[in-house]
Amino acid sequence: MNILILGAGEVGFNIAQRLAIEGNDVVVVDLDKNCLQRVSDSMDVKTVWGNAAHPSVLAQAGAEHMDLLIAATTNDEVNMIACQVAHSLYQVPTKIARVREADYVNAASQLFGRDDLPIDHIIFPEQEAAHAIVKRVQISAAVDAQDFSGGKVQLIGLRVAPKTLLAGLQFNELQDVLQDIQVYMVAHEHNRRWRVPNGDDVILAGDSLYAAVEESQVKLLLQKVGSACTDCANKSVMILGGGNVGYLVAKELENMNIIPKLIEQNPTRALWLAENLDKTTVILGSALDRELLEEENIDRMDDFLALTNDDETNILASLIAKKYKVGHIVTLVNRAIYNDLIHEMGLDVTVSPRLTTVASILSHIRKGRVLGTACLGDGSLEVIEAEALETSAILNAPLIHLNLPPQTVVGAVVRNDKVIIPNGYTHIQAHDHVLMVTTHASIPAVEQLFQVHLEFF
Amino acid sequence: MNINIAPEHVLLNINSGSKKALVAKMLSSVLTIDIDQALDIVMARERLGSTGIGHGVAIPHGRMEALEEPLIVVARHIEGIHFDAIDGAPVHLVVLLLVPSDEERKHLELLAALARLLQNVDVRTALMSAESYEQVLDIFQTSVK
Repeated sequence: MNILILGAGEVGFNIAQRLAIEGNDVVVVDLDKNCLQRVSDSMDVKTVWGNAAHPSVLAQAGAEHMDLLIAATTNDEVNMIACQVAHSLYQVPTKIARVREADYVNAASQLFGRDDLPIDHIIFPEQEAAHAIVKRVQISAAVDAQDFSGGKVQLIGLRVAPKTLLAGLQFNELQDVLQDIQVYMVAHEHNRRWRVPNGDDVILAGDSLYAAVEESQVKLLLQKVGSACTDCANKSVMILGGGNVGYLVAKELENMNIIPKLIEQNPTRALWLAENLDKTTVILGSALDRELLEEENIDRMDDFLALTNDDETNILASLIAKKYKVGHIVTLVNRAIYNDLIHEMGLDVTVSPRLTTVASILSHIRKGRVLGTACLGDGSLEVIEAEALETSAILNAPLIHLNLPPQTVVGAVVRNDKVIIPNGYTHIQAHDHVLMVTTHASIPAVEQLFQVHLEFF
Repeated sequence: MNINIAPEHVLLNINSGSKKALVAKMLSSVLTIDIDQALDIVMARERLGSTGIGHGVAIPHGRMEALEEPLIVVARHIEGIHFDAIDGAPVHLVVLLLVPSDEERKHLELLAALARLLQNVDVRTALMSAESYEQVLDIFQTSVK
C-alpha cells in the first residue's frame, strides 16, 4: 500500500515505522528537518520537507499515488486542510486525521463526511486513552479489558497470582476447571515474551493471559480465577494530572457517579478544571508531594490513575501509590522504551496512547472487511476482528482443517449477534464476525483467509 | 452477450505510476459518473481481495447505484504496474467494470465472461498489439459470444 504520513512526531514516527516494517511504501512529510532526519535515520521511507497542507508539498510527496493519508501534524487545521487538498486535487481514497480540539470533535458528525470536510476517520488519542483508562477502572480486577463486536466480546487481560486457580494448569485443562464459563485463551506471556498459547503449554504464577469471553461472563470469570470485583459506584479514585486525558477521565467517572480527587500542579489549569468539572475535587499541588498525597488519604484509594504528560512522573507516582498499597494503579506511559522496566517494577496496568492510536490506524490498512484491530501485551500480538465474506477461504471448513497460520487462533465468533466461543470443529459462515489473534509475521496469511475471489461484487 | 465499449473508454497507452492513480485515470474518462464515489467503491473492493487475476490482467469492479447499464473501461499499461495480483506479476491489461446495483446475476455472468476471455493467451496478445479502438472493440465483440 502507498501511504502518506503528515507529521513526524511521536504518533507519525511510530506509525511510519510500523507500516514500513510491514512492507508498505511510506512517505513522511514534516516542517521540522530534525524530525525528518530522525525518521530517515531509523527506517526505510521517503521524507519530504514542507508545510503538509500545501498542494505543491503533497504533490512532491506523490499524493496522486497514495491509497491512504494519515494527517498527524500537531496542528488540527493543517491536518484538516491537508485532507481536503488530498481529496480535491489528488483523489486519495482514505483519509485519517488527528484532531485534538474538542470543539471540532464535538461537531464531528456534521463537520466531516463526503460532502463536507472529507475525512474518513478522526484520531483523538487523548479520548481513546481516556476511554481505555475508564474501562480499566470499571473492570479493575483485570489488567486490561478491550471491547469487540460493540462490547459483546471482551478480551480480558489477567495476571496469574501465585496459588490461584490457574497457576500450574495446562491450557487444555482450562475448560474442565472453568466448567460453564466459556473462554478461549488467546495470548500468554511468560518471561516477558508474548505468544499465542498451545494446548500443552503450562500457565505459571507471574504469567499474564488474555481471555476471549462473552460480556455477560466476565464477572464470573474474574471471580472464578480469584480476582475480586469491587463495585464501581462506591469507589475512591485519585487522578494525577489534569491535562486532556485527566480531564476526560474525570468527566467520564463523574458520569458513572464516581467522584474523583484530581491533583494538578499548574494553578491556571487547576482553576479551569475546577470550573469545568462538576463534582470532582480539584487539588492544586505537586504529583510527587507525599505529604499532600497522605493528606488526601492516598492509602484509602481503590484506584490511583497517574495521567500527567510526563512518563517519569507517572511511573514514580505509581510507585509511591504502590507503597501505600493502593489496590489498583493505572500508569499512562507514552514511550515504548519503558515497557519492560515498568513490568519489572510491578506496575501491571499501563495505558499507552501511542499503542491505541497505532492499533486504530491499522484497522484501515488491513485487507478484508475489518471491523476492529487492537494490540495485546507489549504490542507484539495483534487482534483482528473481520467479517467473513462469501467466497473467502475461511468459510465452510472446520477450523481444525483450515491450516491457520503459525501463532494464530480464532478466539470468538459472533453470528447474528450471538457470541460463539469456538473449538476445532466450528465452521465459519458468511457474515460471521471473526475475532483472531495473531503475530505480525502471520498477518499477511490471516488477510489471505479473508480475501474474496474475483466474482465477489 | 453484447459487450459495448465507448471509444473514449479505451486507453491504449496509460502510464500511471500506481494502482490507485491508474484506476483514477480510467474513471476520469467517464463523464457521466461521480468519479470520487466510483474510485472509493473500486478501491474498497480491491481491499477485500485484489482483482489482479494473473497473467498481467486485472478486472477491478464494483456496483454503483446511479448507473443505468454496465460500464467498461479498458486500459493498457505497456511497462506494467504493481497491482497485488495473485501471481505477483505486473499488470498490463486492466478492464474496469462498473455495474448498476440490481440485476446481480447478469453482472456475474458479464464478469465471468470477461475473466474467461482474458484467460485466453491469444486474446491477451491481440490486445497488447492492438493499435486502435476499433481493433480492441472487435477483439471483445468477436470473442465474447
